[in-house]
Amino acid sequence: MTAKEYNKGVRLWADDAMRFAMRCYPSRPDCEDAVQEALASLWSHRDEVPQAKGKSYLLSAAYRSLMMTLRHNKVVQMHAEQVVTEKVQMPDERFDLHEAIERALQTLPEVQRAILQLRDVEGYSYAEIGETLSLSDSKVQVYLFRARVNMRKQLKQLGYDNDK
Amino acid sequence: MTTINDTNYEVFLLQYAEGQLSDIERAEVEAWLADHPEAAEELALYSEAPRLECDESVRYTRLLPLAPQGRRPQFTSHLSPFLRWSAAAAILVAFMLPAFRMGTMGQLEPQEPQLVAATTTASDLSTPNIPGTPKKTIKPIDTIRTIDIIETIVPEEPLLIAQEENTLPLLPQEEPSVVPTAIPSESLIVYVPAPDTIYTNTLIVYDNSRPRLRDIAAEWVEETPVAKFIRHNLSPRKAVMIASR
Repeated sequence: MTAKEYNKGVRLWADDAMRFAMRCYPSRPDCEDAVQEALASLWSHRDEVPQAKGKSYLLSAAYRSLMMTLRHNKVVQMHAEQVVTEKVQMPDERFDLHEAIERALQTLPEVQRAILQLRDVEGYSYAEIGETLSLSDSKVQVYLFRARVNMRKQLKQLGYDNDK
Repeated sequence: MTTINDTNYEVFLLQYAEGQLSDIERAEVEAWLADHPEAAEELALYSEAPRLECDESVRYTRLLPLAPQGRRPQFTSHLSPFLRWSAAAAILVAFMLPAFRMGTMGQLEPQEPQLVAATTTASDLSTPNIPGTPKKTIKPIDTIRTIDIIETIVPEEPLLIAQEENTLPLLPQEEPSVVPTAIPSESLIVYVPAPDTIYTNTLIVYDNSRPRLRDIAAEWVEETPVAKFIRHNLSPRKAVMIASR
């Protein structure tokens, strides 16, 4: 990848990487740090990464960086999950569908959220998702299945049935 | 070919829901589901789950607009050679005249007391000039620590590029064609003052969340004479490349 291709890639992929990171862990400063480090990593390895693989390299690097941050913030993260879980279990609270989906997503593990984003928004195949997240194809399919099932269960708890 | 069972049923159900199984495999899955109602319920939940949509409101905001590639900011192109030489001569005279006057005053009026100038400082007043004693020397500008200048220029808040685009030294009327480039986290971006460019200030962009960069910036600028960059007349892109090393 040349410097020109890198610059073009940054313009095309930075927002996608940010959305992907925010889906995995909705903390804007941490996500911007992760994307920034991923971009720096891509720049450092631009000679080895072909342009066709640039985006998946970027997403993969951002994911790795974010997971390292998450490990550092493990205690905070556990607290946040408790808060979210408590809110999700409140049957009387009503949200619009978009907010309900976001809340349901927050109950899923990061890897499942990452897979949902890559599958639904980026349109990646199972193999591409596995390559990006360093998972086998079958694990990707299992996690994707569980992610959708769990999200639907959470939406039902929030009062959203099939017709809503 | 493996068959569906209690440990691998999720993969089969996903492929079943996505229409990726052959007719034989579908029949096999349906037969298995008849004996496993919990799994059938999971399959229904999977099918009902909404698909995620792209949230266009989420954007990456740390992009740095730079001058277009292959173009250097040239202020001098707007001046004719005559005007340029005139300006150079005027600057030369402006610097030489005080030195000449001080030299002549020292020769012709050595015993006269010095008048207190409007710019005399308090410390000058506390030690009155005695005729015949050496005059106080004014500290040359080039000995001012560069870091002092930097402290006055760098704002307290980190330069979030997208939010403060107007503070960046973009070329006039070239904003639509700027090339965004990411700031690597370990970079110091230095805009170099050069008399023949539009840049008038030294500007360091660093990430406030990494205090180490501030120390590096201070050390680097202190050790590196600004004159070097004036002579090299670096473009922002080159400065970025150097800072990224």
